[in-house]
Formats: sequence, C-alpha cells, structure tokens
Amino acid sequence: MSPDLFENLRLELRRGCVIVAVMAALRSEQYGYTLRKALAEQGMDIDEGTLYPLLRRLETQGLLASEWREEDKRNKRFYRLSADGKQVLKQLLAEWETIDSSLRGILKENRRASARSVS
Amino acid sequence: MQVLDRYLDAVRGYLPRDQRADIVAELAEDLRSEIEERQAALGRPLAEDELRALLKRRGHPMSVAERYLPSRHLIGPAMLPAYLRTVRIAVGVILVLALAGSLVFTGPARGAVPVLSGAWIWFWLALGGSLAYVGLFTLIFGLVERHYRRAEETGRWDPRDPEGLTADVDASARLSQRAHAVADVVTDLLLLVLWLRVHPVAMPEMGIVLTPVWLALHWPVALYLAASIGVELADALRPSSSRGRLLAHLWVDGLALVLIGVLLAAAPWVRVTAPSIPAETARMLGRWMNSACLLGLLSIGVYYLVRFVRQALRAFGGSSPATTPQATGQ
Repeated sequence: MSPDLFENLRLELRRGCVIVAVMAALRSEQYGYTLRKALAEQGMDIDEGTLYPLLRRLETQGLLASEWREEDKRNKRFYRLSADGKQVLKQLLAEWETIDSSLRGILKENRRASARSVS
Repeated sequence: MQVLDRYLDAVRGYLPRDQRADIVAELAEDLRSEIEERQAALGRPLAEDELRALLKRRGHPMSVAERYLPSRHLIGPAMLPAYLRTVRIAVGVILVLALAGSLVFTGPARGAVPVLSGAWIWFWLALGGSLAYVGLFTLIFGLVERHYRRAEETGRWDPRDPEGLTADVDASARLSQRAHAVADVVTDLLLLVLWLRVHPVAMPEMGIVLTPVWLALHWPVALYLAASIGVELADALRPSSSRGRLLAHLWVDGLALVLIGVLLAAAPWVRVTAPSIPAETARMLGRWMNSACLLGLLSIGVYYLVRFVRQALRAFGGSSPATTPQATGQ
C-alpha cells in the first residue's frame, strides 16, 4: 500500500472532524494563531493554510462572527461561534455521536466474528 | 523583515482585489505571531535563513492564495478525458500532415511550391495549426462545460435526455439549431470571400494549375454559397423545422450535390507544371494531388448525400419535426 493512499484517506477522514473541532474550540473567542495552538495542544494539528480559509468560509456561511481588535499593540482578528453556529454545532455533535456509536458497533461485531473464526 | 513583506506582497498579487487587504492582514498577523514565538524560544531574532525556511514551510505564495479561493475550472474532470483525446487526435493529425508535407515539398517536390520548400515553414505551420486547434477545442469544451454546469445549477435538465440538455426541449432545440446556423453562416461567409478573392483558375507562380472545370464552376459555387448563407441566416434568426425550411435546405444541398457530381466527372482537377522540378516528379505530385482531390470530393459528396436523404425523409417521410435529430439538437 502506498503511503500516499493512507495519507489521502487520513485527510479525508479528518476533513469533517476539523470543522467540528474548530467550531467547538470557538465557543470561546480566539484569534487564529491562538486557536491553532489550542487545537494542536489537544492533538488536532491544523496547518494555517487549512485553518484560515476554513475560518473565512464558516464566517461567510454565518456560523462564525469575527472582529478586528487591538491586542498587545497589534491588530488581530478574533473569531467566535455565532448563534447559528451554536445551533449547527449542536446538530453536528449529535451526528458525531451517532456515527461514533455506529462505528463502534460495527467494529465490535467484526471483533466477535474474528474471535469466532479463530476458535 | 523585507523577506516577509515580499512574501506577503506576492500572496497579495494572487488574491481577488476585494479580499486582499483582509486576508493578507490576517496572514501577516499569524506569521508575525509565529516568528515572535520562535524568537522568544531562541532568545534572539531569527536569521534570514531561518525566516526563509519558515516561509517556505508555509508554501508558495500562489498555493497559499489558492486555498482562499473557490475551486474553479474551465474544463471539469468529466470532460477532461474527451478534451485531451480530441486535442491529441487533432494535434496528431496536424503533425502527421505537416511531416508528410515537409517530406514531399522539401524532398522530391522541392521547388514545386517555392514558399513550402523550407523546413521551417512546416515547423511554423505545425506549431501554428496545433496551437489554433488547442485554442479552438479549449473554447468549445469550455462552452459545453459551462452549458452543462448552468443546466445543473438551474435544474433545467431531464433524466430522459441522455445528453443532459435542458428540460425545455423546444428551447434547447432552437438554441442548438441557432448555434449550428451561426457557425455555418460564418464558415460559408469565409468560404465565399475566399472563393471570390482567390482566382480559381491557376496559381502558376506556385507551379500548380487548376483545370478549366473550376473556372466553369466559379459562379455556380459562389451562387451555392450565397444560397446556403441565406438559408442558414434564416435558421439563425428564426429557427424552424417547417416544411418550407426543409425544402430550402433540400434545394441548397441538392445544388451542392450537382456541383460535386460535375466536379467528380471532370477529373483531373490539378496539373503540376513547375519547370524547376523533373517531369516524372511533377507527374507523381499531380497524381497525389488529384487523388487527394478525389478523396476530398467523395467525402464531401457522401456527407451531402446523407444530409440530403435525411432532409428528404423529414420533409416527405412524415416523421414529426419535433422529434427529429436536428430539432432536438442531436
């Protein structure tokens, strides 16, 4: 199996999770750089080339709100989840729970089947 | 920070005007935060090499800008294989023709047509022809792609129609008929101008003489082209599948068939008379040119015959004009 294949599948798997992670992290206001660091500390490394366009897209879709503000003598753009964003995040987390539970069920069934075939 | 400013300027250049300032300000802030963090960890300012490495890790300014832009394409993945195949065939045919032409006119028939005797002219003909065809097919495929995208966006397509044309079959048929007619008018106008401006009898300076049949048919061919333009203009201005229009098409195509018949009966069509090449070579060249003329006339004749029969069936065969191939744009 080529490493590229795994990498592509990994990125595909992560794509939706990154959106949920960013939205969840923005329940409290942050600017881009600190958001990236916070997500990295939680094990969700997102490169800036992915994060900033995603933030803009979510803002265009009305899920985030942003404002430029001065902090430490520098202008920074602060993002937070909008009211619509909070609603959508709730739905996405419910969906995530369903997917997680289905996947766990499938994996459990597979483990049982493999154990039966070994014995 | 000159390196950083240059990098940001380069990214700015690839971004749409209305978003430039905002995106670059945010990117600059992110980069400055990262640089400051690194400097704090090292306890010294970053060397230029380190700054360059940091920017290189971010990616080429074009790729950085690309991530902010919506993905757009002229020819999508579904059309790309057909586009590449068509371009490959067209360019391949042009290259083969140019190679064959250069072998003939720089070899055995050297001097028969002085302007074609140099190898470079064939190189430029092949290059120019290939580029023109690539441009033409890019334009055509781009327009077809746009048509299908719009049909999808507006929901104006019908699963019953395998070509994915709009659900409004009548409107689609009229659009298709109009587009074909405009293309035909342009082609025939160019042909008519060329036919009237180029003396159809002889090109002695090129060592090629056309036989007298071309002179005899000079005005009939011009008349045919004018009549064809008239019918096509009517199609372009007011698309219709009425019997009158079909009969007009039949009349024009019938005239084309008569002209092709007269031409076929009047072989040979070309004589090579260049004194600078041996008589045997001139005869061989003449044979090739006449064979090419025969092949061309037969192909055109078959095309017009098939078209004539189809038009006649539609005019007299009782099939519904709305369901005929031309009316549905197929």
